[in-house]
Amino acid sequence: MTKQFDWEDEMKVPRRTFLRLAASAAVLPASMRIASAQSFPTRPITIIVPFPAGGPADAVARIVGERMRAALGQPVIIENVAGAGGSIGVARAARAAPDGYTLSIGQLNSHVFSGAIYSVRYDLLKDFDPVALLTTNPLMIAGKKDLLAKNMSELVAWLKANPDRGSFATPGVGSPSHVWGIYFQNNTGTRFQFVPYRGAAPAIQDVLSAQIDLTCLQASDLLPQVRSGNVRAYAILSARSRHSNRRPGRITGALYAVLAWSLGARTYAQGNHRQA
Amino acid sequence: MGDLLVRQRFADVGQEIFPREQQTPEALAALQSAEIEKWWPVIKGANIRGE
Repeated sequence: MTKQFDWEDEMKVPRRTFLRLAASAAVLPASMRIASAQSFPTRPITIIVPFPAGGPADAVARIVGERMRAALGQPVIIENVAGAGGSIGVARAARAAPDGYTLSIGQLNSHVFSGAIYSVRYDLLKDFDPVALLTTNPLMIAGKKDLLAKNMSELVAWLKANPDRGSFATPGVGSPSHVWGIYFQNNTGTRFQFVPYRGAAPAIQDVLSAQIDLTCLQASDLLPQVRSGNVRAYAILSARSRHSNRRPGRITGALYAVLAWSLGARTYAQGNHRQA
Repeated sequence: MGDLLVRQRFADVGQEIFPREQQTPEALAALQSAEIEKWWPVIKGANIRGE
């Protein structure tokens, strides 16, 4: 028998109840449907996705939303409010009533970077209540297939020997890929040019056609091309690799994995709660 | 059952679920604060500004 929430206690504070529910939405077993929780929710819940439909945050929101609908017995509306690195959608969520009926979901760009890149009126930490870490989706560093560097050390050596010659495709200015690239430059003493694209697909295209040397994108987007030998994979920036405990400062795969710990395009969910 | 189904659906879109002990408000708050401390200086140092 799965341990049940203390609904009696939770129902006294609707917002908290919602946060607890949302925190568990992705893992609630079917047996925990809560027909008995009458007081909340009594109307549809909205999840604001600050990116276009079809992207990773949207995909996660739809899976979570469906599970919530089954568990809560209320419709869950996915609202895509895209633009400005996710900051427009986050701002919309920050303005919503803090009653537990609006959730904000997002990732590194929207819920970490936006406060530093855009002039925003929300405070990422103070205007929202955290709900749950949902999923992680590692980034991958890859290059065009005829690049001479066979591994990360050789890649860094090549970039060092050829300052400002290498090109690095990003899916946009201020994307996790772009910011990681700067972090990488800072930590390796390398310089190369960033080429911003509108999303991952055109970036991959130009790596395939060898017009671009390198890129850093979600591993799930690059893996098919890696498997078919069309691009060369150098490293995966995985949340799990943080357990590897190599000394920082050495140019090894492990170093990048450690750097990478904060880099996977994480998906956050947050309840909106503007504090007085 | 629902667990496995949801996990599979996340896997289908290239997403991995955080370990259970990290699926909490506290873990999100801690991670978000740490990420802000880590990345804002990198962004500001490079003067990345939104268009």
